[in-house]
Amino acid sequence: MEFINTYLPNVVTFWDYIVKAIWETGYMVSLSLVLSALVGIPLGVLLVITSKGHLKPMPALYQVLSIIVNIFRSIPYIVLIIILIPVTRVLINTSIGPNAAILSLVVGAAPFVARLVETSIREVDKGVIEASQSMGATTWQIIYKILLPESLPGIISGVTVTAISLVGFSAMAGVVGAGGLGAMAYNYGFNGFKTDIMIVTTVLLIVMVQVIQMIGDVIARKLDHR
Amino acid sequence: MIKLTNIVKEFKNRFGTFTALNGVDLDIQKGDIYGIIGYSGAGKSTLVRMINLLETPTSGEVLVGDTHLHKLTARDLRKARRKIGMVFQHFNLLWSRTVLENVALPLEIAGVPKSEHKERVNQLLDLVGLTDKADMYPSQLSGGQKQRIGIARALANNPDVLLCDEATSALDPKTTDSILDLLKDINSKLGLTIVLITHEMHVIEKICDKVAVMESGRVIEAGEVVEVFSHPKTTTTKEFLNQVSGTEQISDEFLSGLGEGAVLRCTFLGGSAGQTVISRMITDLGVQVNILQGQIKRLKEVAFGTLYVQIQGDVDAEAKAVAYLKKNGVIVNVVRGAEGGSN
Repeated sequence: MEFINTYLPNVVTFWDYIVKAIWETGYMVSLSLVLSALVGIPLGVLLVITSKGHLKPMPALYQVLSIIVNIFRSIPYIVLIIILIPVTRVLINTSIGPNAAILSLVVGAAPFVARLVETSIREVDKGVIEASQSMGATTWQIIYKILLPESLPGIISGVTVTAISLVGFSAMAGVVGAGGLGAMAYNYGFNGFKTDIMIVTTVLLIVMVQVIQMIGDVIARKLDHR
Repeated sequence: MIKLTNIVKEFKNRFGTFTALNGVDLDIQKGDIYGIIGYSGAGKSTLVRMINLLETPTSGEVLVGDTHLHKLTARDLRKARRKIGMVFQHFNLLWSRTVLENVALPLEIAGVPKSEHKERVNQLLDLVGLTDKADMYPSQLSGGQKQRIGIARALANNPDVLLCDEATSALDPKTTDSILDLLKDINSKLGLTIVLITHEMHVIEKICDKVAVMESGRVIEAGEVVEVFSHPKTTTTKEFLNQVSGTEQISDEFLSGLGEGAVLRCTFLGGSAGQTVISRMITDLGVQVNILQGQIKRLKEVAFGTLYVQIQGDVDAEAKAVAYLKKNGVIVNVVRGAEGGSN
């Protein structure tokens, strides 16, 4: 206690703020992760099955989807936040706070998820797909009984990587008004010359990343019976 | 049961058109174990996929049972496929599912109520002899066990036809034999028609009733296995027969080490192998015969095989022996002629 009071005086003073920031970051990351997965996984499936030589080849649709995904993946996140401010305002009437960050986080992360899901699904053995066709499976059955279960460890790894990126993105979003640990580090630590806050919030972000990676690895390993 | 008529399959790519099947006719009766043999690239994999329409023919007709498969809607085709099981070279099991769940997959796809799955799967696992493996994952099984699971899965919806795409090609000889025994057992127990493709004559010899030999997208020879084995018409068929008849060429070193006298290669097909041709020749002609190398096999009721013999004596003895053997239905090739005599 003595040690903390001496070396981390501001952390003690602003501890309630830090706790709130942890919750804000957790909230932003988890909600945007769920939404990104909900958008990205179906998009990834579409990218696979509409491609040439797959279940439902639709070259035009594939090209359009692929280009859209690439566009959103090439826009730097900080630019994406700014571009989306007006949209956010229309949607939730404000452009600050954790909720305001969700839209840009999802738009930034969903295409990322889509590509990772696409890669995992493409690795599913063609023979297994053929076998299910020989059993008379519909496209829909092939997707949810074969493609998704067989690529699940890969998808989980992809979602884990995305969650970690979202921790970083959410910190960036914090700087422009979304709150969370990033905002704490920047506003109190950097601009307010409270070095101890900057260090502690950064350490908290690192711990968060480690925990996410660990959880992801454990789940992926549990599911992998190869 | 299965009738393919004038099947043509062309694959187009940017380099041009490749004809994988070039007018194939096939007529498979109910309850047959029908083997299709050919080297890789002969089109046999494409052909077997015509039977469940995994490959669609460029032209030609596919009749399975009373159904023209190529005339069905996508929905009806899926339904028809449930009655055509398929087994694959690389098993194609789902690693994410246990053995039980793998075998239940076709049941799920066909919409069989979940409550019936367990009983049906256990029947199937019992049939293939792997009841104790139900809760294992495929990665914990050996190749032969995986193929048994593949077979159990293919039989889940009580198919009328079982297609085997090189089902034993990834397995060692012993496991191959046990899988072939299983297929034969299933054929007689369930009375279902089996179509299998292979590049191993051993597979044909062991379980097939009928065989079609394929080369460059055509069936070059087809019929009862016994008939095709005893009267092979094409070089390719003869080459395949060499795989099983144990007729390796006699080595030159061995030949040069032999004493005088003609060396003959006698091919016995059908009836001639069942008779005492060689011993009768010895008594009838009074020649001395030295058996060098060979093997006679029995396939169902027919024997076939090759024997290398040395005929002691000069050209006259050789000529008499060759004539005698030929008269008795043996195919004779002179490997090394005799010297001397009235040449």
